[in-house]
Amino acid sequence: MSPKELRCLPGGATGEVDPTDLAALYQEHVDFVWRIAKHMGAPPQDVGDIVHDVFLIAYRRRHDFDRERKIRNWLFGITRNVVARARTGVHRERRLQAVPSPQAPVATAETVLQQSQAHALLQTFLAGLPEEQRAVFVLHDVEGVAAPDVAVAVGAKTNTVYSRLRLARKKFERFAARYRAEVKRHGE
Amino acid sequence: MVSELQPSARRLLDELTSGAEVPASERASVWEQLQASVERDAPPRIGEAPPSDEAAGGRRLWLAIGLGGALAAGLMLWMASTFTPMSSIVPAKEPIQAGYARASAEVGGEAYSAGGRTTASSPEAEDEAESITPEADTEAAPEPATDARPRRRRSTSRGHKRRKDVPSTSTGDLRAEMALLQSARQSLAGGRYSQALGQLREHQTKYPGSVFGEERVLLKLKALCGAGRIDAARTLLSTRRGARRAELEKACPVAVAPATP
Repeated sequence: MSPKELRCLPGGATGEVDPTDLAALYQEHVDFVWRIAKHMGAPPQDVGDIVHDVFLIAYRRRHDFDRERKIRNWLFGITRNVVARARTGVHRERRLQAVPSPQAPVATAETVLQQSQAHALLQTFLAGLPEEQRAVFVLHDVEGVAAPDVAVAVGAKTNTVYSRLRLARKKFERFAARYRAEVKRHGE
Repeated sequence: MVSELQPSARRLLDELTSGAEVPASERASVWEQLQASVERDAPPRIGEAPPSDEAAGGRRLWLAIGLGGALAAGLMLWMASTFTPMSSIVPAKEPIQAGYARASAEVGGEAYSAGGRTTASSPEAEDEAESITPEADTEAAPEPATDARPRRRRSTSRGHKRRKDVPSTSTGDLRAEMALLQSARQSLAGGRYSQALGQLREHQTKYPGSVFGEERVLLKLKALCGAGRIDAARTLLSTRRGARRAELEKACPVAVAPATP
């Protein structure tokens, strides 16, 4: 695939795309990778770089992709590794030296603000989960990935996935109960 | 199989995850940069991590390094005990004395003030306080046996009594609790292990019955491990059982090996 072929994004693809078609891969899965990066604890300022790296790495390893696997499982593995690397702060120094990017324009619509708050609340919950539980919870309960596929993605047995999911759900239910209680207490 | 989320929790999760798509401007921006990177054959920005299939190999490498370190430490201890047999009694042997002081500090590293005892306010004071407050981690049962000295308490009943002394935070400030845990995680990620341990102690003091108690133990184990306080990490790990055990072992593989006598 030549770079020139990457110039234009194709129209919406459905189903599994050809992993060697970067444009189609990006179009189809960028939202998924973006959400996974955030939910797996990527530093907010790094999410764009992480998404960039995930697709760049996927493109360079496209010929190694096992077509028996699901693309999302593959992308999840890459994303989790890139996020883990970002969280170690290896590139922190470079980032600190970089010119700060301008702040995104302040959202004017109240719904956007509410979404932002909701997202922040979810991140605070997910950040408190052990990485293994977080991965399972995000894939299964947020992204709707079936448990057997989650097992493949995280490299664990299906029963282990269920066990982690049970623990994460228990925590989320308690989290939700506390959240509701606080909302009620503040009369919101 | 596992039962579904409670309906109210499911509704909240749906609320929190709605509208989580990439902003259009960001989507186009990243795509432009990606195109440029492909054309220039540029390296990844974050740095290329090993693919997931290779992750197990990486873990094996770290485990090997950890076990190798533990063996080396064990050999050193054996040599010390062989060639300075009275060193544990006679304090004139500087290395052993230092090692004992270190071990005391490590053991005390799990000290907490949940029952109203003095809490160290700085990493240095923490170690000093820990040496006289050999209180174990008072996370959810079972109670850790973190003190190797004779006056170490082992009864769990007292631990339960002590927890009752701490005000409940079941409807406390959730965001503050999350922020505190997040700070500890960031300290850990930044290699500031003493700071992380201090934040985790603060979390335990403020939120003794937190739903994230297990997460606190995991972070604490990582911090102790990262700080090289393997004995304390091992002691903490030894008190943990059940499904969490494997996860904890993974967080600090060097603590899995038994302590060298």
